[in-house]
Amino acid sequence: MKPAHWVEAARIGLACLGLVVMLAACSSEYPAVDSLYAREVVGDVFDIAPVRGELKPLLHRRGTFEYKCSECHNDFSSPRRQNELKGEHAEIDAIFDHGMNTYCVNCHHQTDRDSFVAHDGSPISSDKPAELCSKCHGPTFRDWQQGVHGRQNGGWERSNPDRKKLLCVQCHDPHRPKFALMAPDSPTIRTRFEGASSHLAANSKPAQAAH
Amino acid sequence: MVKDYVLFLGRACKLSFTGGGPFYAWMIFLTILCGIGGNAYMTQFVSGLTTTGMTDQVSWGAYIANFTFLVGVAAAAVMLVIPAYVYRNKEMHDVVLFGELLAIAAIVMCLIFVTVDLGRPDRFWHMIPVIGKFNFPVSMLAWDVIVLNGYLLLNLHICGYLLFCKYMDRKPTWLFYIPLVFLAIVWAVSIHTVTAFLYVGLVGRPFWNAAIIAPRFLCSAFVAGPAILILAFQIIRRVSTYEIPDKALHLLRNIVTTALLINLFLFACEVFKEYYSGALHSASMTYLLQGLEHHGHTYNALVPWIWTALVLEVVAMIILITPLGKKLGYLDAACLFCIVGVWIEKGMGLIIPGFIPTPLGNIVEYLPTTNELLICMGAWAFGILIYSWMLRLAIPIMSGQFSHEKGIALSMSSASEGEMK
Amino acid sequence: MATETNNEVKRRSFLKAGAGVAIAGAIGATLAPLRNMKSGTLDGFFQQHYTRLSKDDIQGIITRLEGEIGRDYGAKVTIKDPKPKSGVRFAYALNLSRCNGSRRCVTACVQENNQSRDPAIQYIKVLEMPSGTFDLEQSDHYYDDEQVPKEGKYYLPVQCQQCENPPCTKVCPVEATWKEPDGVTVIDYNWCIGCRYCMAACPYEARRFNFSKPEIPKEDINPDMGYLSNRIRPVGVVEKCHFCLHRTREGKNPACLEVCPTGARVFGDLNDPESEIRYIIKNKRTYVLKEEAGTVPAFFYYFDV
Repeated sequence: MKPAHWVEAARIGLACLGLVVMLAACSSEYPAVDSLYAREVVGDVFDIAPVRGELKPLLHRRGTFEYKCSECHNDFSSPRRQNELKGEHAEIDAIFDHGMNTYCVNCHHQTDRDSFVAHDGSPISSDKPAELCSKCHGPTFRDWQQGVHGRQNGGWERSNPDRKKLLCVQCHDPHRPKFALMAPDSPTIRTRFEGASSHLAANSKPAQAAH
Repeated sequence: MVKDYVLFLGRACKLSFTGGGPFYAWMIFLTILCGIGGNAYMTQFVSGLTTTGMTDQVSWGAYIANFTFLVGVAAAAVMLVIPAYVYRNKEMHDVVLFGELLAIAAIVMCLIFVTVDLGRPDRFWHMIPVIGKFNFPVSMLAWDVIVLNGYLLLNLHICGYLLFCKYMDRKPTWLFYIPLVFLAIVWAVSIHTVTAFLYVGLVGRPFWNAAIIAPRFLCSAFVAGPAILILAFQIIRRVSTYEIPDKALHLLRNIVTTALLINLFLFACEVFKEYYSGALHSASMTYLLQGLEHHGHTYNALVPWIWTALVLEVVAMIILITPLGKKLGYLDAACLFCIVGVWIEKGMGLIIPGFIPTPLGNIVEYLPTTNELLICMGAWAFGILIYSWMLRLAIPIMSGQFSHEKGIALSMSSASEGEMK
Repeated sequence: MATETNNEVKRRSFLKAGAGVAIAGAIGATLAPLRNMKSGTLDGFFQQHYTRLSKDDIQGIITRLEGEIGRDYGAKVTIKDPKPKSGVRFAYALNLSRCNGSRRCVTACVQENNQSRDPAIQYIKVLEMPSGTFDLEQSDHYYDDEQVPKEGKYYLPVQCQQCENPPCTKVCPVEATWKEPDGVTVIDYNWCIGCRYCMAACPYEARRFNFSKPEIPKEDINPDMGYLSNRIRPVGVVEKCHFCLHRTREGKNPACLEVCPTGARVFGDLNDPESEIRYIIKNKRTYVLKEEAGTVPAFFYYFDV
C-alpha cells in the first residue's frame, strides 16, 4: 500500500470518528463567540474582572478531550488554506474571517506543530500570541504595549498591582478577529415624559453576538 | 413726621379697601386668579417642576419667557422718565409716576416668575450675600438679582417719596429724588442689558450668542412698555377723574412708533445674517420661522406663533406710521398688537428657539402645561392687582383728593361706601 | 329705628363673618396641595455650602442623608466623601474607531450612579453619526438598530467633558457647582437652587435636572455612594457625570470604562507623563468637541483606524 493511500484511509477513518465525537459533543463544539462579549454586571456594582475569556493553551478540543496539534499533525499533512479546511476543522472554516490572511501557515508553524511561526520561520511559543499578531498588526501591537489598545482593567493608577493587560486572543477570536455586531442597549430616553420601563429592561437583556 | 407717616399708612390701608362696586369686582376677580395661580404653584411646589412642560433639552420655558418680557416692561418706564426729567416735558411730568409704578409692578412679576422657575425655592437664601454664597460678579444671574432688586428699591423710593410729599402738600427735596431719578435712568437700561447678557454670554447657544440681542431687547421693551402705558392711561381716563392729556399719549405713540421700526429693523438684520450665510448655526432661526426637518419628522410648533407676532407688529407699524395712529381708537388697537407681538417675539420666540436644536443637535419641542399656564396667569394677575392697588392710592393723591389735611375726600365719581354712610 | 340699626349692625357683622369665612376658605383652597408635602428637616434647610463645612459637619450630614435614603428608599447605604488625590488631574480619551454604539456605558452609568429610573435620567448620550461629518445636527440620539455598529455610521458618546474652562460653573448664581483640584466639576446637591442656568450654559448638553423626586427600585440602588457624586439626588437639583469620582478617587476606573465591550475608553492622570492618556494625546490625532467654544475639555476623542 502506498503511503498516500494509508493516509487517505486514516483520514476517512478519523473523519468518521470526528463526526461521531462531534455529534456526541452536540451543540457546544466550538467556544461560543457570544460568551466573549457577555457582560458581567453582578452584585452591587460591577465585576471588574475582564469580560473576556481566559488564555487557553493551543489545543484542539472535542467534547472532554483535548489534543495537542502535534498529536495528529506530526503524522498527517495539513491543508494550507482556509478553504481547504475539512472534517476535523470544518468549524474553523465556517467562522473564518481574517481578511486577506487565509493561509493557516501564516500563523501556525508548518513543522513545529504546537507553535506559531515568525517571519524568519522560527517558532513562536503558543503562549505568546501577541508576538505572532505583531507580525502584521504593528501599530495595534505598539498601542497594546502602551496600554491603549484593549480595555484598561483594574484601575487607572499605574502603580496598581491589580492592573491586567489581556493578550490579543483573550478578546479576539484569532480566526475571526473582528468583533461581532452587538444589540445595543435600549435607546436613549427622549424626554422625562418617556417611561423608564424599557430602559430598565435593558439591564436584563443578554449581550448578543451576530451570526 | 413719623406720626404723619404712620397716619398716612393707616389711611392708605383704609383707602385700599375703599371703592365702588366695579373696583371691588375687579380686585376680587384678580384675587381669585391669584388664588388659582397660587394653588397651581403649590402643586408644583409639592411635586417639583415635573408639572411643567420643560425638559432637560428645553430647560427654560414660559416662566423665563414672561420674565424676559416683563423686565422690558419695567425698563420701559425710562421712556417716560427721560422726557419728564431730562427734557422737562410738562405732560410727561404729570404721568411719569404711573410709569414708575408700572415698573414696580413689572419687577414684582419678574421676581415671581424667577422664583416659580426655581427647582428649590426653599433654598432662595443661598443667594443672599454673606449668609449664602452669592456668585458675584461672575454669574450674570447674580448681576440680574442685584439690578432687579436695586431697580425695585429705586422706584419704590422715588414713587413713595413723591407721593408722600404730595400727600403732605410739601415740595419734595431735590436731593432726595432727582439724583436717584437719573440713577434710575441708567439702571433701567442696565436691567434689560443684564437680562440680555444672561443669554448672550452662553457660548453653547448660537441663537443667543449674538451682540444684537441687548439692543433688540431694549427696542422691543420700548415698544411694549409704552404701549402698555398708553392702554393703562386710557383705562385711567375712563375709571377716574384724573386728567391725562392727549399730548402725553401722542408722545408715547411717537416712542412706540420709533422703537417698533428699529425693532423690526434689528430683527430683519438678524434674519439676514442667519439666512444669507446659511451656516449650521442658523438652525434655530430656521426652526423659528420655517420649522425644521429632522430624521423624517417636521418640527414647527413655533412657526404660527412667530408669524402671528410679525404680522401683528407690521400691522401695528402701518397704523402707527400713518395718520390712523393719531386716532385714539386705532392707537389702542396698535398698542394691543404691539404688546402681543412683542410678548410672543421676545418670550416664546426668543427663549425657546435657543434650546432648539440642542447643542448636540437634538430636537425636543416645548409646550407649556396647563398648570404652568395657570401659574403664569396667577403671576400676571398678581402684578395687575398690585398695579391697580397702587393706582388706587396714587390717583387720589395726585388729584389732591387724598392728603394730610383733607384725609380721604373722594369725589362722587369714584364714590365709596364709606362716604355714602 | 333702633331695631333697624340693630338689624343693620347684625347684617354687617354677618357679612363680615361671611367675608372672613370666604377669605379663609380661599386661602385654604390655594394652599390645599401642600397636604401632600413631605417636609424636610430643619438641618437640611440650614445646611451650609460644602466648602464651608467642617469634617464633623460633613459626617453629621452624611449620617442624616443615609437615614433619609434608608427611610425613603428602604436601602441601607453608605455615603463617603473621598477627597481629590493631590497632584492628579483626570482626563478621558475615547477611541471613536473602537466605539460600536452598544450603549453599555449608558446602562452601567445609570446603575452605578443611582440615576432616577422614573423619570429616567441618563448622563451619557451616544450619538449615531453618519460617516463623513462632524455636524452634530445630523446625529441620531435615539437609534434603535437591531445590531451595531451599522454600516456607514460611527458612534459618538458624549458626557460631561469636565472642561478646564467650564461655562456651567461660571453662570451658577450660588456657586453650587465648581471645579475640584483633580479636574472634576462637581455639584453640591444640597446647595443647588435649581435655576437651570448651568443647563443653558453647557455646550455639551451634559447636565440633567431632577424634575421630580428620583424613583429607583430598592434592589437597583447602588449602596456605595459619594457625597459629591452618586448619592441619590433630591428633587429640583441639577446633576451630571462626575467621572465616577467615588471610584476614581480610590484608584478604580469609571463604570462606563469598565463595561465598555470594545475597550474604546481610556481614563487616567493627565499629570503623569507615563500615563496611557498622555500617550494618546501625544501620539494620536485627538480632538475635543466644540473646541471653538473655548471650554478646553478634559475629554479627548480620536480615530486610530
